[in-house]
Amino acid sequence: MSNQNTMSDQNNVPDQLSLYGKSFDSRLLIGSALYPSPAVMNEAVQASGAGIITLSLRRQMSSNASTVDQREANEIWQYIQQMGLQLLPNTAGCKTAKEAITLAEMSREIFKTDWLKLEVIGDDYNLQPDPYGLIEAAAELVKRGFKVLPYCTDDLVVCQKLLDAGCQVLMPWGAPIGTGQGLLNKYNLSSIRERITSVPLIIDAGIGAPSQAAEAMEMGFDAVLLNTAVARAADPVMMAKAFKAAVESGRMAYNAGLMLKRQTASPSTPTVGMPFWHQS
Amino acid sequence: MEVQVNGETKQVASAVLQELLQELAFEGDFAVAINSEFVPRSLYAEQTIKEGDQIDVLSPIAGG
Repeated sequence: MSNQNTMSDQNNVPDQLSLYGKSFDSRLLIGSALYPSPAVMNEAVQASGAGIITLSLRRQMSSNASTVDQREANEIWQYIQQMGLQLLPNTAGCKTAKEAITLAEMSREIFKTDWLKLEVIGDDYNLQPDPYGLIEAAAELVKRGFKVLPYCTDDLVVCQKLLDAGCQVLMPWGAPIGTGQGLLNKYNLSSIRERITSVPLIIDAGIGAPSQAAEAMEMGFDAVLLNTAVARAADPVMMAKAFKAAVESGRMAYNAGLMLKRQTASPSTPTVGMPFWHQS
Repeated sequence: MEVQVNGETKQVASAVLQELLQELAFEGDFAVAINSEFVPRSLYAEQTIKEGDQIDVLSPIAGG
């Protein structure tokens, strides 16, 4: 995989992210939530260069449609429609396969896309995906023609079962949503990357700093999806640029092929022709 | 009759979903589920409402 990508670079073919047959220049996927304002969200998303944006559905506030919340939701939706990015609706908050499937159908109608970030949450404390509900929902949604991008734990066997269910992209967590802890279990994540080479893998959730996003890319993950780290930064627009650079840098490093770690020092300056004191 | 709309108890006159959505003045982009089952837009005109139905009208919001 690494060699192929390097070849692509040599031939000046852009190193694009390919998901469900669609190509993207950026390997960063971004969320639309938690920004200080809709305008800042708009600017930050543009600055990130992301080609895919996540969003969701909630109950419309009918009786008080002029409330600030509903106005803000409408404004965000207006901005997102103007961006022209691939929409990736999520099923955040769903706790059963049935709930997620209903919400997926509603999303497909409103957003006019069969792409879906599938979330089935099993525990409120760490918002950990429920692997059983997730696999059940994924299998049914694939049958119904959805392009399912499941948000899953870093469990190799769960990932394999999601592939069996027909998912063509997997999104294991780096850490629980909104924690900013980075890649908590690198052993698990690298095992998944080594075992699963047939589909793109996206690190979704838990990324807090650009260095962590770069690390995920250096490990060979195909992309990174994040939200809070940008939205909750003191300057979300600048942080979006920082993540853009980090993801590009990490990907380039992966394609370049990292050196192997070693236990002992090895001089980087040539020792042949060393003058003076070593000569006697 | 009495139904639940987005978690609130409402007295409504309409017995068909399409009319109920107009009665409650929902606007913009939304999708509907009744008793947790998705109702496609193409069925609004024929979807009947009965006492106690739980109706969810969802609209786009930000998400991660």
